[in-house]
Amino acid sequence: MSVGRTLKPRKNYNHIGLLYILPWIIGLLIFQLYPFVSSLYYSFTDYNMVTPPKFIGLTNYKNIFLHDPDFYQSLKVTGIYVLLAVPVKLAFALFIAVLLSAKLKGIHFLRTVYYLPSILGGSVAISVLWRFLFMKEGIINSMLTKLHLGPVDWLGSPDVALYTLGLLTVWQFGSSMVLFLAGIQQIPSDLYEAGSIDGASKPRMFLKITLPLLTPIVLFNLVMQMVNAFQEFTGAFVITNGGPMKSTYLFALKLYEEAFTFFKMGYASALSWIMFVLIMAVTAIIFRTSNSWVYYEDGGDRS
Amino acid sequence: MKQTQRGVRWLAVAVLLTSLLSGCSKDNTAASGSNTPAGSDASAKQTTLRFSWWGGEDRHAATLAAIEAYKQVEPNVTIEAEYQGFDGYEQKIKTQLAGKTSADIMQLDLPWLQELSRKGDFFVNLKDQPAFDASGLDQEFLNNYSVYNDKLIAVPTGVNAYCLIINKTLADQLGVPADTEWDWDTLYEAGKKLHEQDSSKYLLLTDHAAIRQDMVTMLKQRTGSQWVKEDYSLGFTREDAAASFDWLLKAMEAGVYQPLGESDLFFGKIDQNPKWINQDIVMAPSMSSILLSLKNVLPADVEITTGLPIIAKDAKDSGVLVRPSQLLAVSNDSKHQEEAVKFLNWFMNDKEAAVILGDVRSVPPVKSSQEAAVAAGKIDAAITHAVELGLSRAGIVDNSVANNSEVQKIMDDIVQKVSYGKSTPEQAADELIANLTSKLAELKGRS
Repeated sequence: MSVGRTLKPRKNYNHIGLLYILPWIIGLLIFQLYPFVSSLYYSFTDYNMVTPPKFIGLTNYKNIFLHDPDFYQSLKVTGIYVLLAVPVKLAFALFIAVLLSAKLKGIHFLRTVYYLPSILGGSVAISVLWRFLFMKEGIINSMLTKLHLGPVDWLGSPDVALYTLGLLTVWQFGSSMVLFLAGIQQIPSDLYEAGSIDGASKPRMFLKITLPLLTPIVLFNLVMQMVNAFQEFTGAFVITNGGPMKSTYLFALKLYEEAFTFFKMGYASALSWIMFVLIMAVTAIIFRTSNSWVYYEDGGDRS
Repeated sequence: MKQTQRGVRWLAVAVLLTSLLSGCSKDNTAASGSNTPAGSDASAKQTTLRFSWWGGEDRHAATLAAIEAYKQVEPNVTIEAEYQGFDGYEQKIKTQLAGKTSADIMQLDLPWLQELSRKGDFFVNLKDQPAFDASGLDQEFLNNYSVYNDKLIAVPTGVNAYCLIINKTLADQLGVPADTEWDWDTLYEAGKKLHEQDSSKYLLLTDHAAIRQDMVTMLKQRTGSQWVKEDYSLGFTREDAAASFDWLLKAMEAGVYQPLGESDLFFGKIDQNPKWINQDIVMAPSMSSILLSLKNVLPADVEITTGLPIIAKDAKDSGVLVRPSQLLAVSNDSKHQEEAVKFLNWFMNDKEAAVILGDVRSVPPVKSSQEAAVAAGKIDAAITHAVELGLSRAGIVDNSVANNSEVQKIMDDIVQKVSYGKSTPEQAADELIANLTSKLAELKGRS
């Protein structure tokens, strides 16, 4: 008689799991989702944080695209910044990671030293330091003058200032470097042995073994650094305040100015949504093109 | 059986959620309780007030000393000081006001007060506060700068006059006259000559805000009216603007000013400019309240004097800017408005406070306070001199549209283009008029 017994269904414990992560869920809803959705609403209003928001349809977006030359200036500046700072940062991080992957005495100390700028971060204090290093009478120009190469107007020239800020970002390559280092450590040594047996040179082994196997990490670093670069604010705000002549007027500065100098919160919300769409679009392009250049040892999950 | 088990589980969930909410409720109740004044203990109740201000080291030290002295007057009142430099202060204050987390008493700049008074009812009307005595203040001054919609919403902390702050020791060394009345032509000639003699020297310390002020002043002097009028129209012609920018371009090229790319790194903090600190710049066109900051970074044996700002030959209005150094207001969101007003009254009217504070916010506007501070030798003679000169030649009063931050930004942008040689004076004039016209129409529609 017991042969025909039906197996009991598995007990449902979902509610217990939900309870354990409830604090995080509440935080997500309150601090991420609510602002996210409410800013979309505000972007269709003339909200100034004082009087109640009044619905004005697409006026904010229309004004941004049709009547605001500073919007295009900030897009242009941010575009140049992203296209320069991100690739240079990744290239430099990879280069240093390869150097620091050597089995040498004292290598751990060097890894720590190169990681330090990343820990310091793009804080206000570091930005102030950067300003004093690179200003006309700063120590960089003092050294260059002694070498008869200067002085250069690193921060005061509209043609140069953005690159000086980019240098600050590139200098903080430590976190990308650590990820590359971890990736390099995981590459099987037998691949290099096989290459060595076949007479491959070090540069060729780098191009044919190291780089292809690191492409998933390149993709990760590229997306992360690109997203951060689009939102870069501190250096441009503290060091140059968007100047000279708006040559460092990054999108985030434009957003900040509309929100906290002019109190145009509706307008600023519209700008933030434009930034969101822009970053999503660039990310999508990167992921779509990654099919052709990212190599997965397990073939990915596409097969 | 299964039905019962499932019910028990969800009941547990509900109990936990209820506990969470109860905890929040309890916190709110406690918070509310602490805000309810206990009638019988009101006079002995401990009160904490937040006081927010910007400034340099001198102002911080003097204000903290005044706060300490107030403990003797009101032992049950604690003043929490929130002070910083000017850079970023405006953004912080506006954000706090909008979010209703502002200090009880706060220091404000005139343009922000004008903007904020249009946007909402942020500040206590001091006319309704018996604890505040306004009789020592000049009524015209108050009406011009502190009264909006018939409410007295802030009090001037000092009388500020735009002036030339002069490093006299350096001026004498370099042969620059320190006691002359400049016009734009004589200033240009002197600056050009100085820079030709020594290319590391400049006549004027500045940033883009100071140059904007100079341009606005030039327009007022040429026209005799506001550069932007209260009815959202322009107060100048294309010719006026082109002539002003032409002077600016020539002055930049001749080295009258330090190049803007260098000086603007110290926007809002001109006292940190190494060129001033190293005594390569002779004069700073600025508000008189800035004098102490500029003086403190120089060696003690350097003599600092003041003079009238630049006034054009044949000026139709002197353009000399006289206004409150800053203003102090009490937040409408303050939970202790009476105590805050009492402190404000003491801070402004009390002779002891005046002696402690001296001239850290320029010359006190209350006559008796001014006399007490002078008697105690706490007001720098150069500041008094600047204020007296300013009052004797005061120009027209700026209106709130002219002081609007978006309007000023348009002039800032044009000033930078001209300063960097990216725009001819005529192009700049056209662009200024076009952009202002567009912005003013927008502001009018929004108001």
